[in-house]
Amino acid sequence: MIFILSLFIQMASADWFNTWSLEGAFGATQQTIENPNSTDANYSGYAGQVMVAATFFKGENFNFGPNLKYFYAELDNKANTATMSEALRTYGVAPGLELRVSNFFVGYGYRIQRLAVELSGNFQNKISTRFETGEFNIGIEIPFDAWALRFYYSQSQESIPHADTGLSADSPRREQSVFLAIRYTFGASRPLSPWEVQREQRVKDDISSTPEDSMPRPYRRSFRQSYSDRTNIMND
Amino acid sequence: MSLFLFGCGSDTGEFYHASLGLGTPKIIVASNVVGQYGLAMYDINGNFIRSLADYTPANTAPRGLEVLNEFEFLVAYDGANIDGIHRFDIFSGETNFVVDTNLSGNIFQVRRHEDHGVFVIESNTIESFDDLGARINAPRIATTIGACVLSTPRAMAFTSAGYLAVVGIGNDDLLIYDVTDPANTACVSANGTLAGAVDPVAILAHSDGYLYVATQGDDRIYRFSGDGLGAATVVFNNPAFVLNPTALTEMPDGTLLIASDGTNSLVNITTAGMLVGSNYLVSDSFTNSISDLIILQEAD
Repeated sequence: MIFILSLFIQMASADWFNTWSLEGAFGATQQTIENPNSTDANYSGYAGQVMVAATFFKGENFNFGPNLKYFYAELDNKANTATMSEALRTYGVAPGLELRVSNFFVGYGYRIQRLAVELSGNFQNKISTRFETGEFNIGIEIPFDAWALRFYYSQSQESIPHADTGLSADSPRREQSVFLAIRYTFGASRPLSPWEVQREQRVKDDISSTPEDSMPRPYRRSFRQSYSDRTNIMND
Repeated sequence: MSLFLFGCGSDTGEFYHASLGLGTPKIIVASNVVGQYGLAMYDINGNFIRSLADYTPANTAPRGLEVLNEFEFLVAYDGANIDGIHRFDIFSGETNFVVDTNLSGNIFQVRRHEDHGVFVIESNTIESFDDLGARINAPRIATTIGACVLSTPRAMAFTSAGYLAVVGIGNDDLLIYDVTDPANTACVSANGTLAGAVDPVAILAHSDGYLYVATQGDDRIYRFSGDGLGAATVVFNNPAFVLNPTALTEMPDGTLLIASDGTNSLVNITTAGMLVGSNYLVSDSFTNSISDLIILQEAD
């Protein structure tokens, strides 16, 4: 993790990145862990994450770059009763990459995470295990100048090793989340959305254009002469 | 919000087995101390986890335990007014498995075989039930069948060949029964080589193929061949640790766990007769007078 962080900092100091962004996200999550006897433990709850993102390349309609995020999720087992309940927490960091095309983006993150389960009530127990897994994201971004509103779906899947749990088999785990996120991009070099590009072009066109530009070429000389004469008369 | 995003899933599912602690084996003991009848649970290192049940208010003594799965077991109990068998879940407690007016004698150990049913010692007979608790035969094993005579039987075990091995403190015999046919139990052998007031009270069919027998008369652990024939060899003989043994089971690592009433403890030894560790595994109020003990663990 330290290696990834230092790599990120070195790339930043070497001006590898075009833009920097900071994002906060909050959403709902569901997880399922399969027991060795093929029954499922189903959990639901909330998830949050903060992300630092940068771009290697930027264009009018796309950008591509790395990111680093911290994520946290807290869930309850759907089988909880008044006398026994099970709470699940997952948290960790995930370096990743993201590609945006127009208003849509896809991403991959390599999660280094800890999963902790606590049973309370008639029977108390705690287990905690650390493992790595990949996550995929897909979503849509709606920009407002330096700000952007993002809505995305995230999924990860792996098996919790039985060596960590003592169970007779690995425990397949699936996680699905949806997030609503707000992103702020620092500096003026944020890649522009297609309609921002069109708007800037229109402004540029308005500033640079003169009446002469719209005249046929043979008339431009006489126009410039008469314009100059009138200006001189007024100055006199 | 979750319902909106993921749909109205109605599958509540179960608890995660790892968080239930099912990934680590548990020792369950039945305490037979008058006024302190109950069940207690320990981890495999002998650390007390919790008391599972108090049988004192009902004035019933839990006498036999048998594993069903990683969190359920059977409890055969002998009461002042009623006897029976409970199905016990370590998370939710007991439910009735057998309530039969014919089960009214002195109840001791209970054993289950996947094909042959549930067997329970009742005085000088052995009763049996199917997995729904319905009685099979009356009784399944009578006091005398051929050369096999049940005389104050105390413990049973199914051998690797599927025969039922029984020991009792009346004639000290090791009896081997073929219980394949519910209507016609056969005596395979009656081994009287332990005769001499050694009082065998516990028997274990070990995964190594041998039968291990604990005797109260001489405070020893004996080893018989897997078919129960021939003379036994002494595996352990140290009354400082095993004095008046009452129950015997196999630990996950293949060592033996012995309930020793004389030292109020659980003692862990190897099958070669060496003490594991330097002292008792457990010695507390629940190990004072253990009638039976089992290990709950996930099946491989």
